[in-house]
Amino acid sequence: MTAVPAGTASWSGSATGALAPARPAVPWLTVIPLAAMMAYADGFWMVSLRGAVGAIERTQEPFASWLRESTVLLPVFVVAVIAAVTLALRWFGPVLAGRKAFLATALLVAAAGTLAGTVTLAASEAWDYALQHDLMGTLHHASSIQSAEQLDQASLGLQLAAFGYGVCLLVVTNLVVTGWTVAIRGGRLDVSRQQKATPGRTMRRVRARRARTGATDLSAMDLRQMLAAVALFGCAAIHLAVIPDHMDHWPVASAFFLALAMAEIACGVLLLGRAGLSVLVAVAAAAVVPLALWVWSRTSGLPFGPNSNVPEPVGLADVAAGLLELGTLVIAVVLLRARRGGTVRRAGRTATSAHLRALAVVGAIAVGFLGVAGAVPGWLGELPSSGDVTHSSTH
Amino acid sequence: MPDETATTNEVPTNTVSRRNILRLSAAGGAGAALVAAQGWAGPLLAQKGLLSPDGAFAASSTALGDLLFYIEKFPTSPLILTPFKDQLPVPKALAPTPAVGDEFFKGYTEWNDPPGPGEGQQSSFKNERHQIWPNQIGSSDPLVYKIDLLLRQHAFTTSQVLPIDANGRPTISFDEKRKTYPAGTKRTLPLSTIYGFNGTFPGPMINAEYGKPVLVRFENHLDENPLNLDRQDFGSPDWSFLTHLHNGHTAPESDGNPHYTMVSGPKYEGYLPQTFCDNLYLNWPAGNDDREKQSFFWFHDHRMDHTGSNVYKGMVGLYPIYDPKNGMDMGDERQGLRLPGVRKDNPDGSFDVDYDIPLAFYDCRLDDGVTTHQDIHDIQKEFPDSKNPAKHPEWWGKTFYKHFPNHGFVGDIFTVNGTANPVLEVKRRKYRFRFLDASIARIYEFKLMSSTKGPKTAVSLGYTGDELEGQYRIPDAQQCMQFTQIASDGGLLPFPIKRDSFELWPAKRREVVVDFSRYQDGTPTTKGDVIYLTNVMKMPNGRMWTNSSRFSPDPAYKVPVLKFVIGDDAPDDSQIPVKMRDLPPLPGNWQTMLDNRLIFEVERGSGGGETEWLINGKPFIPNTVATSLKNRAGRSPLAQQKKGSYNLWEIRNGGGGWVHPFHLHMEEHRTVMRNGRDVTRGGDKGHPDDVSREDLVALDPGESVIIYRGFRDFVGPYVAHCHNLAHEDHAMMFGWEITP
Repeated sequence: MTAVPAGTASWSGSATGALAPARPAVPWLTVIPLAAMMAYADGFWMVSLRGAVGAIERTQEPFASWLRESTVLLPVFVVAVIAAVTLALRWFGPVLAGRKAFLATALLVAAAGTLAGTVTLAASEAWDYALQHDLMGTLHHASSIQSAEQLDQASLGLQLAAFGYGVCLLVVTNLVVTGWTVAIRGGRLDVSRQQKATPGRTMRRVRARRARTGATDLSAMDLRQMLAAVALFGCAAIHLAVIPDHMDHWPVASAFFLALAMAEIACGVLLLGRAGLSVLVAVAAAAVVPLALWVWSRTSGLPFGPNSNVPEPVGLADVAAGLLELGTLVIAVVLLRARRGGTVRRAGRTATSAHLRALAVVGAIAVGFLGVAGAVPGWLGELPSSGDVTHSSTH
Repeated sequence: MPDETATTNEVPTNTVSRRNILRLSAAGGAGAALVAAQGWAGPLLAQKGLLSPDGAFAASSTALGDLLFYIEKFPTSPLILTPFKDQLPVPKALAPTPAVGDEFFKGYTEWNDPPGPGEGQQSSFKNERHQIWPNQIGSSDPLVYKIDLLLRQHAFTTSQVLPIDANGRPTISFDEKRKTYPAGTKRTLPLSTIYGFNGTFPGPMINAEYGKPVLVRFENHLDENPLNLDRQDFGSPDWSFLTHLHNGHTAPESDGNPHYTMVSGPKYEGYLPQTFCDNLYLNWPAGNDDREKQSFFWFHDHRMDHTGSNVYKGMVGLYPIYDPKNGMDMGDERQGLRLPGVRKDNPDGSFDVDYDIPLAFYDCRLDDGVTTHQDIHDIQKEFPDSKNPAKHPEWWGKTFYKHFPNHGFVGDIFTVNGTANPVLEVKRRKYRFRFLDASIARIYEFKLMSSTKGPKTAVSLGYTGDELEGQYRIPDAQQCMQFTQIASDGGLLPFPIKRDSFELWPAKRREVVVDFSRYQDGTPTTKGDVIYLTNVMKMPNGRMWTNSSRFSPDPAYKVPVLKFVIGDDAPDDSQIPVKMRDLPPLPGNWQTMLDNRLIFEVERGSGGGETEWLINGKPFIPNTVATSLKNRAGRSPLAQQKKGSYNLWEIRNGGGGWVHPFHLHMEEHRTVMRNGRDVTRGGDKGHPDDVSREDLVALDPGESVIIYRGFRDFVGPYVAHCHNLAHEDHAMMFGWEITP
């Protein structure tokens, strides 16, 4: 299904690398409302289900939790909706011709949102179960008839049931929400839009960027550089977010994360400009150094610091940062090799190019959002622990 | 839809109209949903204290839980066909055990392990002693009582019954051999199996007096089954018990709390069969301050994880306490405050008081034989013989209990002193009634009402389902008398309060004087007149009420609980005093203690399995002292208090549309703030007796209450917990302690 359907020839992209006069772009006015509606609607059920069967630590202030988590997960839903409209664009072309295409696209959007919601729901239920599992351990007392295993099984059963019911709720909710959002937009469900830029202005920008970057294939270089820059900014945000948490027990680490974040921001900014050899080397270094430290700290433990040689637990924030660093490193290496070899892959421009680019960039943003949220205690990361102490009364 | 979806080549004349229709439809639908939510859900949420963003989520979570995860079915009890014929049992005082016995009974000095102050004399474990023996406070040796925990039977009514289903239609019934009886067959109820103090329900009543200590030996014989009874599937599965005198000022070893028993004494949740413990009740007010004297205790089981099922199975006893000092309240209406009561001293050392009657309220459900017994305890194999989940037609007509109900547990038959729909013939004079709610979760609101047409079955009035709870209604009833409240949990009030109605929460006590010689409008009563003690609070499940005088009154919900028939005249030397017992003073600077108060939030939140109810996010861990939430001073102190100290504690209802009767052991407290408002001079109409001493904080949904409490005389571990016993048994309890 890669061929552009007949009747949409004027929307098809040229394979020459030059901008087509009517190149399909991402219909943000469709994507964002749909993603937002599904993110907040699905978030409502996720938080409500948590209130019914979730871990007590995560059931306080549900309204704030809903706002926070739905907002953090919004980029994930944007990715899902872009993926759905990209698929629809490939299948049906830039203009949805016919009721069948329209309904299929709406269903695709709802399905993609449901998939995103299901993944987040599964993660939420798994986390609840993990917390409840810990709680069962503390609750169990030796002389009780109840066994921790039995309670554990009951918890697991409850979470699995909640997941099953939750998926059903998400399917229905996303169908309704998609229908309502489309209706409130007057029945508009776009899978693409036309680029607004005029050819004259666009060409001036092309020439200017080519002059800055020296790239022969602007779009391919733009995407890679932009992706790497976004990933670096995401890493920087995550590293800035973990500074307060480290401040209490190891200020040196806070200083390191601050310096690292500054370096990542600088590299990201440079990458958006003329990405010369030195810039690419710096980018690679900014990615590989924290990545290596992270692997070290999570395997054998760093040989210095307050908990030297003790492996640190893996968390959402550091996994997100690691993924972004890995992506940045790969892009930097590819760009370096391309530069050294003097060969540049000529990317073919198709009707879905803009969508795929958006997918990649928003995906990186989503990972960054999750990482930052995971770095803030009480958001998606670790929860504050209680300070119960063992009874020591004598009388 | 192609025209609407195109971004180019639009045809404005057609699409505008269709688009606008779609937009209007979508906006209209959303608007209608909002209006409906405001009109329908708004008041409902407001009534449950959930009219807030968090409350909306709580309501949604609750609805999901009810709809998807915690589907519960309770049986409908058979209809009692001739109510208000059984006489109200008026308990007589239990006789103490003499020091030296006779040819039939041993005196307590002749027991193999006689009670005493020595090391190892507090229980059969021989590892504890009484923290304070009476001679240390200038009292004489205690009166000794012996109460055995026995497996016996109990009848809630002698009336014939008609088995009905949830729709009120006659239905089939069964006998112990599972024989089926056709719908419409009138039946006599089988006796219910109980675990009872001395084998009765309610258990014995000890009439105690300040200055005369009492030692009760509770001895466990629940392993003995002389009547070969079917124990069914509730009650402590290992037949252990733990007795708490609610809310005596006692040392931890006599308090009957699992924080103590898990670290000392039996080092177990309770006392197993063939063991005993001696609970020593000093009958001595906190700090030896007369203003701390109380007037009505009750003792009940407190076995960890099975308090509810043991109490429901019968472990309830009564303990009125009189104050003979200056004859103030010694059960003699010719002396002191002249409260109603004519005292008769018995030769065995006990005494009874006429016209002074305890009323213990307890609601139950009787098995219909077709409801499946199923809850979390099935997988724990606590009752393997029952092979649950299963139906038990052989238990038809006997008490049904669900240990782990999502909503708490309420019954549909209301009993007083163990009898459903009893009648009491009263003299034309004043009576003192000591009300006690011994139910698992039900809250009552009582009124005194008269009726021309009398009670009708709820079925005959067209009610079904939860509306059948209570079985009878008096549609034409009107309030005819007022109560004069004279005491609450903490004893006599500073002054009497005239009340049209009052709420009775689980474990709470309220004492009232009722003058049966005249109606509230001054008209004299005449012999044969009938007055109904009527419950006007509709509480279809253990979560909270749906209707009461304070919230959405339902004028059709008038359930007669106890029938009074006016009898002959009788001498009445009693008076309603103007002034009774002063409150212990609050320190003038109590507000300066607010920053450092201890904060405990009771919450609903699934911990998985049956850990449903938590405090400060933690389940009850019996060997630990809980930690306060962070207070305004930025600290999270441990729940440890120095002996002789006082402090402010805040109890918060974490929401979710539940009410919680939160009980704190050891000393009575005084409410100083409710929902951020100073109530030391009264002011909260919903809780008029906040200006008294209590041991149970009545928490409406979302409420926060700050109490002032003392920690005197004893050291050691105690507990505080929700007295919705389904909540308590599922971890809504925390340990605290007094340190030297």
